[in-house]
Amino acid sequence: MNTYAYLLSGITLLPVLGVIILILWKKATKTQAAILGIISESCALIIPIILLSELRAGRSVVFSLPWIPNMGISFSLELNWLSLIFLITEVLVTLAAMIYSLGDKDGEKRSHYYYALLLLFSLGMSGTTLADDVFLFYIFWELMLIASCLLIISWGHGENRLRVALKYFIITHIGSLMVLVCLILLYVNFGTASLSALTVQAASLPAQTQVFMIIFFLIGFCIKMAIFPVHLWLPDAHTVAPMPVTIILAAAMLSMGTYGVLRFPVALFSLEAMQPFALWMMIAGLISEVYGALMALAEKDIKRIIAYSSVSQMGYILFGLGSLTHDGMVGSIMHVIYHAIVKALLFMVVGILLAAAHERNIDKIGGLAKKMPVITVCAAIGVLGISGMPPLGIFNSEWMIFAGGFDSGFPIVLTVITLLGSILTVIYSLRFFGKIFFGDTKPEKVDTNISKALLISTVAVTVFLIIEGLTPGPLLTWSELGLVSILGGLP
Amino acid sequence: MTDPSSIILLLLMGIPLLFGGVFVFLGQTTLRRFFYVLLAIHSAGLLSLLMLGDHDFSTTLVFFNEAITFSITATPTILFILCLAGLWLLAWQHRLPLAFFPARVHAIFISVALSAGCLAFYSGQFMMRYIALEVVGLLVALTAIVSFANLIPFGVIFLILRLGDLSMLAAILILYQPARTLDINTMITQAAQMPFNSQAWVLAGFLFAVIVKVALFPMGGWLQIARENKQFITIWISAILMPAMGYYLLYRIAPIFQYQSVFQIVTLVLASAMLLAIMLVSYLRVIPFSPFMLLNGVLSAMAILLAAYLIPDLLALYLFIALAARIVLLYQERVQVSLPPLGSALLLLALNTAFLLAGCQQLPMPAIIAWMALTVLASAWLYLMGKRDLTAKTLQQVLVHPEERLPLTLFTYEIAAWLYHQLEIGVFHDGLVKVRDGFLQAADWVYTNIEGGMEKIWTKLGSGLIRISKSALRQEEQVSHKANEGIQTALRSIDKQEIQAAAKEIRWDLIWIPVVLVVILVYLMMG
Repeated sequence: MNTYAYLLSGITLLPVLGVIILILWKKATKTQAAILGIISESCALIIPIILLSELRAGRSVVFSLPWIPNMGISFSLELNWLSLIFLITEVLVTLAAMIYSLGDKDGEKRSHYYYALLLLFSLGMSGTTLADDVFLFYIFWELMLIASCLLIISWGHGENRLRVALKYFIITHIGSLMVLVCLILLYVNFGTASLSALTVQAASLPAQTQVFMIIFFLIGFCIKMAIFPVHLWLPDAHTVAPMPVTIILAAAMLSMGTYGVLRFPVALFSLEAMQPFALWMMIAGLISEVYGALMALAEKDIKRIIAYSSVSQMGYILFGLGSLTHDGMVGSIMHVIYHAIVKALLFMVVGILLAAAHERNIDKIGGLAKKMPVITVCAAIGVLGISGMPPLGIFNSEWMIFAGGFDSGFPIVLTVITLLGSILTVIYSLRFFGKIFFGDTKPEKVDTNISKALLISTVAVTVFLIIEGLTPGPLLTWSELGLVSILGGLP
Repeated sequence: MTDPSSIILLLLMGIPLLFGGVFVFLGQTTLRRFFYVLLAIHSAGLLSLLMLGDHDFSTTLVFFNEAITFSITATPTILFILCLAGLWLLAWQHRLPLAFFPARVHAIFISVALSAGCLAFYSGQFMMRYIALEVVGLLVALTAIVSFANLIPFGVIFLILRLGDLSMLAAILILYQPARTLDINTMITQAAQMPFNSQAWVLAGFLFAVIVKVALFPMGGWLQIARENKQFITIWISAILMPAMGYYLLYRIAPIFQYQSVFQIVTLVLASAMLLAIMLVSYLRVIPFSPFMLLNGVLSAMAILLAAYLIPDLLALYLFIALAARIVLLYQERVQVSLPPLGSALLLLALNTAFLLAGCQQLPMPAIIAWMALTVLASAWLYLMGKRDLTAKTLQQVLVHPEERLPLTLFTYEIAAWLYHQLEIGVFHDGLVKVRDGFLQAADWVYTNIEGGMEKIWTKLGSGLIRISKSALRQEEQVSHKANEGIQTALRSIDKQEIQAAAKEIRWDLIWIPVVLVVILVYLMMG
């Protein structure tokens, strides 16, 4: 193992170190705990950027230590182009959420535990994207769930947070168990837990086993993606969770489902083996897109509106993945990233609105544009972004997803409906923006004294959204390389 | 990229954005001066481009791994020059207004529109053109806002234009599959090899986008809403720039009409139907009758007809004249000088007859007959409409006063009324609001019944699981309780036995037995 390999382990070890310090440092104030968390996440962000040179040279970075040698299980991490994209997105979102949390009222009590859990949540996601061992993958996958559940239970809002956390845990755990069944099957069949080795061998499984595993993998990961009808955990969890956790849940954790679909069924089995499921994935994506948008239209709670929009946006991603074409899959990977940025921005705006107006009902908030001009501009950009308005990022990913749909060989009308369904996104986002910022109903009291941490992080994400939209080239290249890294070539 | 035309074009795109940035910091008087400087620079630049001739070039900028290309030709340049002439006219007549938006914001909007216009007219890639159209669409919707308390005009305009954009996007993406490039020329050429079904989708997508962009019946609702805002910037962006972009789109997609004869026939029927519908519904306007909307509709429908049959140069000429006619009519509206009825009718008649003479060799007989019939009908209709001055007359008023009726049967009125109320007003004008309300109702229903139903299922499932757990727990407790009781009873019994045993006296008379056993054991071990 070379220096880069040891550096790679830092992505998982540094947050662990942060967690240990935070648990021991019981007298840490919220700011101190947050700064420690931010430092830890910043390091986790810098490392993959340093390792980028290795990837550019055509070498993936691997770190491996024997863990349970008798069973062939090891602590193996691998950084390739696909994991890099998801890793950077997740770390960036967590970093933005941590900066945002400095101005947020959540996590004032037992701050050291709060940030320790945030770090564990992030570690779960980082580990999931890096794990090159199926058991390690599963451990990180569950760590992500446990940490987020504990955050909701301990710092969530409302009386029913325990109930919501339980619902979130059970539904997503069902998905995790389905994934676990497949992982065990792989291990039993090939006697190795190495994901790299399994990627080479899995296609030799009998066709019926492959079909069974693809179905289980897809359902398992679709639960994490909150695809209709297994999305039920999402609106409640997003609503009850403290705002930084909501940001991470919506912007980063949902993308883990997409990563799972790409890393397991797509990478393990051939695209031919996936072909029988392509149409169903596209239809499920289309239904989710329309259904989520309709729910966002009907919903009155501003936090839940944005939560339902995630169900809709994940529908686009599944649609693109289902097309099994170059454009569709690359578009889906790009959509994950763009969606993460837009969703982080919109939830940040919602958090500020909640803090300012102390009201969640969209019918009771209005006319905030004059009182909060900067937030209005940020929200306008976010709303245009999610509507797929060029030159903002989602436009780039959406058109590639649609291009994939047209290229899939399935009836053109399916993609045309999906494309026209995107008009629903425009309707709910305009309603959201128009009512809150220009509506007639004004809340009784608006506290316009916004914390600098909230404002800076929101503006920074807005600027980042614009920049990413204007320069889609690097992300497109990375996404293509990501697809090559798991498929061995472009479809 | 070092030749003069490419440099001029890039400057034409960059300078307005630069001015837009400067406008933020300028006061009212300086702003006006700078605004005219910008117009002058842009006009000079466009004239230079026209004089320098056709030129294609590629930039170092990349969009989705493809170099961004531009194609400078006379057609878009003349269209853009005409747009700019319209802007000069309108701005000169009104100066920069003190409108709902500050003049500064309006000036910035125009700067962005000029840049986006360059991109739309000269880009060699469809996706770039699409982006420019989306940006201009957003500007149209923004400039239509007259009050933040009422954002419905913004929403409806944005939605209608977005529908057109999405249909165009669908067409572009279908074309993208065989071509694997976003280059317009390659894509259009490749379309010839596509199957009929795909060609039909492409044509339908583009045609719908054109109909929306040029505000042709039945998609003209957005322009009517936008025109309610009397600011010159709104009028220019919505009634001149956006339709000009639509005209140019029509010009670029014209070759697709030629790929199948059935497309030409369908387009002929479609354009004729639209023309007839425009003439009929214009008679029954609830809102004041507008020669602009009528003549715009007639000219645009005829342009579509021409696109299906005519050679590109003649189509371009027709588009220039249609755009010029739009500008003249708009100016005439602004200065409130009414056009003589015979004038507009003769204008159309002369224009279309000249075109027929010029292009009759290329046109098939059905198209010639349809063209002439429609021209005569439209001219006569224009004359009648102008003559009878039906301003603010509703169907009800016309029917109550039979002497004001045009020489048409009541049956025709009914058809026209049906078309107007059901299609233009019912579906496309108020339609989107209704669609939105429909979506809201559907969403409410789904939210209550499906999402609520799933929530109930989940709650029942959860409650069931909890009941099962409680029952299992109770069973476990009972078993545990019983086990404990059993153990306790056993222990008590043992204790009892022990106590009983302890209470008995030791039998000293039997002591010899262990002694003998020990002796035997010692003996065995030694042996």
